Amino acid sequence: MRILLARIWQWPTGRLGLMCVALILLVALLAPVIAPYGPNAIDVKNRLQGPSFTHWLGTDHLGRDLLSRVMDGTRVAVLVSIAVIAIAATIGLLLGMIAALAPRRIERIVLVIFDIISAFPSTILALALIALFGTGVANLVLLVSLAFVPQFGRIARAQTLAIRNAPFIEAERVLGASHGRIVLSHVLPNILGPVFVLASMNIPVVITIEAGLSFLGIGVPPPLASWGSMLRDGYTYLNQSVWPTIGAAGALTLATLGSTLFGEALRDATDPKLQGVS
Amino acid sequence: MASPLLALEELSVGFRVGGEVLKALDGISLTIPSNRIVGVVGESGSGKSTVALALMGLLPSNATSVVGRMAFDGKRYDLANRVELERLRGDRIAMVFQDPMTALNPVFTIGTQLVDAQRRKQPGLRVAELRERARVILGRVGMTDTAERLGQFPHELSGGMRQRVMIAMALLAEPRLLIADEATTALDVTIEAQIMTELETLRGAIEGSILLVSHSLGLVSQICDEVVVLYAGRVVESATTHDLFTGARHPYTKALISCERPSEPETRRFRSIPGSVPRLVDRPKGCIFAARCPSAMDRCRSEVPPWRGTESGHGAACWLA
Amino acid sequence: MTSSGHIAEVRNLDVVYGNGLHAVVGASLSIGQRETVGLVGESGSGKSSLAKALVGLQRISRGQAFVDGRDVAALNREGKGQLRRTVQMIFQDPVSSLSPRMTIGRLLAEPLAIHGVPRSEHRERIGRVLEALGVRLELLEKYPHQVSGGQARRIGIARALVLEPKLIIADEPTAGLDVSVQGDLLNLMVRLQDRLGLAYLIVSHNLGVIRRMTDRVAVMYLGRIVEEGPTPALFQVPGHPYTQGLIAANPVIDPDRTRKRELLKGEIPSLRQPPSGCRFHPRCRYADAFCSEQEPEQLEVAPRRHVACHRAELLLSE
Repeated sequence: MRILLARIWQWPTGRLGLMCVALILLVALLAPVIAPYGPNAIDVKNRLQGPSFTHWLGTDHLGRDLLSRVMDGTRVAVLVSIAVIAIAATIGLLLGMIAALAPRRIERIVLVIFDIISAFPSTILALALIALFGTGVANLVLLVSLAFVPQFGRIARAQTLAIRNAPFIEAERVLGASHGRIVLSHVLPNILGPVFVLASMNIPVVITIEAGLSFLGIGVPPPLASWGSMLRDGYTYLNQSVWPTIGAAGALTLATLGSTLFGEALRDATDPKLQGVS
Repeated sequence: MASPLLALEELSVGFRVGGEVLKALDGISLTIPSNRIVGVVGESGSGKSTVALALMGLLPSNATSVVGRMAFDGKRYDLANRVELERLRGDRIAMVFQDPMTALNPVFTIGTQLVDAQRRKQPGLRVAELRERARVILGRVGMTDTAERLGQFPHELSGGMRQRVMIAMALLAEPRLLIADEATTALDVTIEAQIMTELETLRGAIEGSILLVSHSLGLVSQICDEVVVLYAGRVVESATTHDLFTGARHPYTKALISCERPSEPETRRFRSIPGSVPRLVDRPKGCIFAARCPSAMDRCRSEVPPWRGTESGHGAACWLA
Repeated sequence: MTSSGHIAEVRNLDVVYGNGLHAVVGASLSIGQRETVGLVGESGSGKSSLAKALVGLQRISRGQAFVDGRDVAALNREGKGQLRRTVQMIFQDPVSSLSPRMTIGRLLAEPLAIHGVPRSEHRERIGRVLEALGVRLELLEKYPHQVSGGQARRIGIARALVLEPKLIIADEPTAGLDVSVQGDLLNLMVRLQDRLGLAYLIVSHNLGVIRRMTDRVAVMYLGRIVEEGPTPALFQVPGHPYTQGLIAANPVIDPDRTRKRELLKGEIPSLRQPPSGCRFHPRCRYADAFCSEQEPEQLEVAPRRHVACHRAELLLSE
């Protein structure tokens, strides 16, 4: 783990990504403590202000402190994206390994399910499903993660296929290991690496989708602060003040850029081909 | 005596590995006379493949401090100068590797690849003529149904056939020196024996020499005229094949031979050389083999043994030789 | 039931792969207690498939395999566990046959855990095996990629031995090893055999090793056992032209070129379309029209010596 972080640190882009990710996680964790105001504290007298010492990022159309709301939105973005990826990765891993190890017929069924899901662009799919099942944080997380299952499933299947007949798996069979033991103790630990990398590369995508859905008003329901809904509010009052848009857009850019850079660095750091001769 | 085809002088190569520089070759000198098959033997880690790659100018990118010169076919070359070597490569020096699949392009037929290989050398010939030359040369390396083979793709051939195609491709360049680096190691012994017989008869055809890099003492003893024994990046002994296998002078050579050819073949007690080839960052003070040598003396650990040669060209780097 | 004294025996065994490839055809072979049997042949000869069928890695399509007197194909769950404890395997590539994310200690405890050996006994049993192999206990904390190739090989052997098997199948045990270190491994195998009373089935293309290690040899060609018999006799006077060719092709040290090196012409035919009659006839120096029509039977040419060749008498009398 420490070696991995050191490797990421060796690239300038990795360093930037790591710092962004650390900052975002820190803000998400500490938002209630360090935010200067409550995210929903309304102060109509001071609405749509520019940045000042009392409101570093200004205020929105209800006079709420934008910095506090951006921080609270960070919490939402981080929680939603981690939850989505965790669910998608777990289901994907399970289905992927089943597809690789089960008889042909079951493999076909799983692959067809993956194909159907990934035939739709993930945003459109999430949009349609939320329209069908209704809004709410739980629905949002579950339905968006569904859209990401095939990616994880495919990579898990490919990795499992690659090691299914590896000599060490064969050696376990000769020792008499059961299927369960082989899958849990020998297959799973050896396919997790690429899955983690995929997860970290997908975090920014989920953040954008969450923001997009919230922008359309079917993501995180108010009064929870989300960068997407903040952007929408800001957009409505754009001709009066640009500051509400700038705060949320800046946070969104920082988060997606940072986690993308981090994901790419993680991918390179775990690629044995880039480690030179050892 | 006529001047040799190739004389390699004091070749040293280091590899940068995780912050250290490991010495792969340390002042290797060897000569390859014309029309001879010279074998290079040694354990893994002895540097035998590095010699082959250095001659071809194909050292990997982590090779540092390449120093050495060679006289080849009447001209002198600096082995640190890749550009000079590139001109020789595939023209007057050709190489056959262990894995033919990586050297053949999977999407072109054998015929196309053999024709392309000659284009530079034979600019005046038409494709049909080049194809015919390719067909003839496939026959020379022991392939049958040669016309049909030209239309096949690499994956349609067996490993032995692919290796023959590689040899044919190398020969089409009409090289003066053919380097075979463990070229038959991955093949069955029966196919290996066939290919080695072809190589032996080809020596006349290429009007040049063959450098056979191999871990197999048996193979080397059967087809080489001269043998060079490498240990940890140094030449420890060189001699004609007969002299080396009947009267080895370096303890390392003796030990290697007795592992392969036991003195008491009917027992189930096997010989080995204790320890392993050292990975060297710094050269030890004395003889590099002293740590594993059964007959090492105090002197061996403090002074580098000089090269002692006889008039017949049998030399060894050992105080006891 | 099988005849007593044999730890393993196969009779008329066929191995057919899912894609229809007939890898082993009608193989019969027995391995006695404490005996070392060699299995040789070119690639595609079926030697690995036959070995895998004996450890249960490959399904037996026809014929029977007995281990310790019990039919492998008819084993229930418990019987299969017993089979694993009786027959173990050491693999060709030592590092890649160890699960990469487990410590050596866990890898060694695993066979015991699988077979329900109480945890309290693990330490002692592992310690005993490691001592016999001369492996230091510090290695237990390490991962497979952190140990040397030679150590990994010993760990592989240790994993096979902790179950206290009676038969060890060694798949190309010296592959990829320099001659200078092969001896250490082979001496170790001999020592373990004497100490633990093991039987070995050694699958190898290295005839030098087979000649010195084994009591008996079986030679396979394109899925069939073409010759089988006591090692010294078989190497002295091969009864099958293929055995003759294999021995001639083996690169032994011969600086004065006294031996004829190459006797086998041509390529190894595809297993998908094996030649008619005797499968070896297209490469055989002695073949005539009859050989291409009639498949030769296994004949007992001497006690415990079988050859499947129409010309066996001729070759043996030469």
